[in-house]
Amino acid sequence: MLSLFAAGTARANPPIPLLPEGPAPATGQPEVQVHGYLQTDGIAWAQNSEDQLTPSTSEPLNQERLLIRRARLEADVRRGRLLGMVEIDANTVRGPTTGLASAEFSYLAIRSQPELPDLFMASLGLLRIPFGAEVQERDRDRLFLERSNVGRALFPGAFDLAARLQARWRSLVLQLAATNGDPAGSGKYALQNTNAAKDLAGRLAANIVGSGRLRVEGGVSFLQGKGFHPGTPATKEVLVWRDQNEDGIVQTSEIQIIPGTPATPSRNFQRFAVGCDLRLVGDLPRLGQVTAFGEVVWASNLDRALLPADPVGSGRDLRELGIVAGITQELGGHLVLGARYDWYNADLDAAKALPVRIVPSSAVFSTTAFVVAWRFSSLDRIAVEFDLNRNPLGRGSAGLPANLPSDTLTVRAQLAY
Amino acid sequence: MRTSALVLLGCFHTAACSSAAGGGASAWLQVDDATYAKGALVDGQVGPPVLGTYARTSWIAPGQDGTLLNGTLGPGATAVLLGLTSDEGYWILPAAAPDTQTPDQPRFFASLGFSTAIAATELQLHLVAVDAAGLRGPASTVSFGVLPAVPPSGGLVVELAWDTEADLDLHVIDPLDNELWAGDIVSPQPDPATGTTQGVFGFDSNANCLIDGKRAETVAWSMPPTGAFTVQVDAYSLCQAQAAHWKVFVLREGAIRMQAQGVATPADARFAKGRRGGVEVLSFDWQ
Repeated sequence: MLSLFAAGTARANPPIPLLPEGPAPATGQPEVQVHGYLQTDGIAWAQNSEDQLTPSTSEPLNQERLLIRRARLEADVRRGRLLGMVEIDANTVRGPTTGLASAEFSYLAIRSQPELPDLFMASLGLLRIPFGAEVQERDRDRLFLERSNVGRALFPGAFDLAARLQARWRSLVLQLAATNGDPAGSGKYALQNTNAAKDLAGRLAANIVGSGRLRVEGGVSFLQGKGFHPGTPATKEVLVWRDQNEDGIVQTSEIQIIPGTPATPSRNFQRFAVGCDLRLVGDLPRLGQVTAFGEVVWASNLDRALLPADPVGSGRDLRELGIVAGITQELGGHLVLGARYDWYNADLDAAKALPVRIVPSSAVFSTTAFVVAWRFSSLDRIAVEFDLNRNPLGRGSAGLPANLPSDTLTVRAQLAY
Repeated sequence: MRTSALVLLGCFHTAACSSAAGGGASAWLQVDDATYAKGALVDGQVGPPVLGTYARTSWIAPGQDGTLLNGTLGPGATAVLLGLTSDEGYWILPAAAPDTQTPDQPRFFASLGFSTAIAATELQLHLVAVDAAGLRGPASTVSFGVLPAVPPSGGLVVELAWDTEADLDLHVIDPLDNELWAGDIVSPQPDPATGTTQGVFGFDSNANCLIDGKRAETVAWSMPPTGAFTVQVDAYSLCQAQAAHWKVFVLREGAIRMQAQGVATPADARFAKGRRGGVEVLSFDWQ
């Protein structure tokens, strides 16, 4: 593992992913390292699991299963000031698949003068989007099994094709990136580019070591860009027969000619997000490290996964708000406990946008997660997590919107190599 | 605002008068089996003329497709260029074989589509013939009147519309507990003494992901019964779309009185289909 990402990997909740902390690289023979990690899950109980198939797509509804959540293999090469990294992911979440998780080429410059940025790094490739603390956190370092609802909604895959600049001066880190705007996991056009406009994202973070055993990490983030509303192709005339009286005989009243329609154009729309995050890390005598963290994100038209935002289709902007708060506590050298609550409203104006009740009447997703982990080493662990999920995706007995029961109990084994 | 316009000045080669071709989906005019070119349609003086045109109708409606326009071109013409005044581009339609009666006059057969974004009361369609050397002839013009958008007719109309090629279904339950949807398209004959009429379901759009492009369904009454109506929306299938943003309108004599909106996601498609399928989106009392 290169020192580039070494910071923070020895703890359950690493700090902001900083830049290389080691000395300036020496020229010479390239340094190549291959490493990775494996996460295998056993979902012991899932409330929305059924031994049935989805009617429209025939995908299994059963969730209580064993799966390979992430099997990652990463190769790093360092040649003087040049860094390269390729990470391959394999998983069985939707059947066995293998794909590119990240890939980057970087140029690194380290200075020694205190009045100048002590580190500068320019990267190009499939990069982590510089927004918020949670998106920056590597999946293997996060104690909780998955990211929060707001993180998964706004940044479904955390990675996008981008050009990124990073600079560090003392305890400050500045990250700026121009991204395609169709990150991994964002649906049909993920990791492609639907419009020429690039999303501009950035984060300014500080890592302050206080007196005693307290450390404070925090940051502010922004994103500005353009989303894409797909148009529809032209259709030809269609002759349709619907057997309305179910007699199996064609009758003229059952035949309709549906005229063709012209294509409708695709359109771009504005979107943005701002966020702030804070993490307090302290050491308790005899117990271990305690970490409290929180993050708030306010966005407009940026949901790309849970309730995809499209102001062209909706006829109005959709404002999103997400809040994450949690705490983790080490108990001795091996045991770690954690609890996290996240709340995400995919449409803040749902209740007041229209004169009548709309559906979903609430666009709020929330998860309360409790995790217990046993660590064999800094990165090898077994974790058990219970997720208490609330959402607006279900239906009550009267056909009204309701919570779709989806609580889960998951066991994850992780091994890094 | 569209800024491009027909330029009736000399221009002697197609490539010199247009930019790279695009899809044409954002243009007001769309022509089947033709190639789209961005930029103003420019005519010339030395190329072949358009000898005659025949349109089956002189009126079109926004969103209409399949309007036929035929014509004959001067000797040597290999294509005809079609473009609307103020449109952002034009279309290049190859010429067809001439009629046996006039073997030196190529013909053309155009099927025209008109965008829903058209905001004009009259359209001027310009046609310019072009020969193999790229020489353009003088423009010929055909006028179309634009019919105003007509809301679904009926005393009470409930309309569901959505934005992606998904299969969504409208269900309306009337005060007599009759459910109108794709499975029951007409409500039972009412008692004549009540003075009410049957409700009629319009069309099951994108049924089973057989895409028809309408992306809308209606239920209408001429004289609806009084009482409480309930409207449900069912995501039968998203047909590979990531989501479908839908709106429900309640119209009285053509005027929108209520509306609701929401998003259908793959989670909505997991529920059972059929009668009383879908999620309730609004209810209202009809007096």
